[in-house]
Amino acid sequence: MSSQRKTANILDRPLSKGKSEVNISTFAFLFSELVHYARTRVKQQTNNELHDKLADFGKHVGSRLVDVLFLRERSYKRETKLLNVLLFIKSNLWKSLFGKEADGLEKDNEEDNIYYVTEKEPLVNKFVSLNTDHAKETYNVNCAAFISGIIEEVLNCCNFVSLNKILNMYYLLNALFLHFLHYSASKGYFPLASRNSISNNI
Amino acid sequence: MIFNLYIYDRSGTCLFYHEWNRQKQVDVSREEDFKLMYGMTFSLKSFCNRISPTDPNIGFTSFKTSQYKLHFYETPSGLKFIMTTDLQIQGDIRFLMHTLYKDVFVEYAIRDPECELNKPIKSKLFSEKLNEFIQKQPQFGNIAQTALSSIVK
Amino acid sequence: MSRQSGRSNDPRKVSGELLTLTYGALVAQLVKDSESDDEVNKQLDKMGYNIGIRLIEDFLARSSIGKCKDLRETAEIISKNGFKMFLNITPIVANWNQSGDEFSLIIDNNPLTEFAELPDEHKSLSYCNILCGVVRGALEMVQLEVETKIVQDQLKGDNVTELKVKYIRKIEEAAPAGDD
Repeated sequence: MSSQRKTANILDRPLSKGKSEVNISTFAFLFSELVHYARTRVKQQTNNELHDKLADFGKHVGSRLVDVLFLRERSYKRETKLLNVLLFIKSNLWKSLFGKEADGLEKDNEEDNIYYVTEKEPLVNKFVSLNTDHAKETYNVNCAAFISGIIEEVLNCCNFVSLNKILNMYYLLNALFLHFLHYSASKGYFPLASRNSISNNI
Repeated sequence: MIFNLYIYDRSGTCLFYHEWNRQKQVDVSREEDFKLMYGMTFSLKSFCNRISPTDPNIGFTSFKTSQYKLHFYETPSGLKFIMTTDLQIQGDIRFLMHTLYKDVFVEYAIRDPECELNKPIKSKLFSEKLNEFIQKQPQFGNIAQTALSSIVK
Repeated sequence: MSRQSGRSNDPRKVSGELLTLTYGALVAQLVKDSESDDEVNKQLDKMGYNIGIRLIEDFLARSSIGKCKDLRETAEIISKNGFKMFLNITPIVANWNQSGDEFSLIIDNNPLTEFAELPDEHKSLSYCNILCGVVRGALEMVQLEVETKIVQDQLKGDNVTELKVKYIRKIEEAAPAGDD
């Protein structure tokens, strides 16, 4: 775009292989500042509001990640079947972000359209003390809202409407399970009218 | 046997205090105790450096009385870890405090977005991890260890 | 199926892309929330400072580095140990001034800018300004007051990104308050 730019245009440069790694602390510190900043931008200081803000950051990451991942790992082919996208999230996305697969992918027993990705120890919560008080239903901010934002946007980019909220979190044998509501629509799951031709060209 | 632990920031605020096997309580308030401890180690440190016959390098590291030993570890950033133990304690306690700094303090206080650096640490996770760390040390004290773990169970 | 993951499973490491994209999300949000590029630069510097004062503890705990003899040693350690540990890069220490109280860190392959491109309407945005704050905050915790500034920026067409560090003074340890 700019004529005097000496460095190669970003589109002319090869896409990295995504194997670079950085110290987990660097991310933890950056993320910590992000949470602080998000807190200064919410009006009512409620956790839900803060979760939405964190999810917005996640969406920004998700929308970029979806391009990178499908291009790099699926040679431009996007998924159109919900289950495949969910599996993609559980394995590929999780692996490239967190170096491991998500702990589980479960379908809700009653609701057809609800899926849960479970993660015992989400990276972003690793260093946060979650002082859960079940009686009062108060708890500290759940930073995994950031991850749910990523997932939501990945699903959106694959043309699935997703209503993606952290439903609840609770302790079970000291392990923290996070449940993400993945997809919710009244009649079955199906891709919406295509916004992006790539997804139909499989 | 480990008696207690103080952690101070560089301006002298006590960020954390916990005692394990302390049998006799001090006769002043907690706040006063924190202040006295900080003031004493601060003065001792500068005194030790002043009278040092050679370049002090690390300087003040510990003192002992007939009943207990006090260990002092300061990071280059001015955080101070102070631990009192009995006289039978084995091993390098300053190294233990460095490990505590590295594996507990940095991990669960410094990296916690909810944790402010110049205020007492409120994080439950931090105190849990710290307790866990101290109690698994061989120096912690066997009798107390079994007693405590049976309470936990 | 997943051929990609050449990443190790080191629990102390995290995907570079996660960092890059998260930082991108942060800057994008700041740009959205702020009136001017200058305001964004200031905010990034402030955030960097907050990171720096924490990050130094991580650094000191993990490396067995004690007090530095002089600023030259400090500069080398920032580059070879600090940047290496946290961003996996080793900036070149260069451009010392005559009096030896000012140097530059020359940064190439900055992971923060991996996917970034500055749009024309944000010409005065200093995308990596967070690094200035980090260095300033970290050094303050080891009793060094410095000024930091990005003087060259790859995103603005320069060959390298150059972070200038100027030594101001040594901070003395404060005596305990109300001590008599």
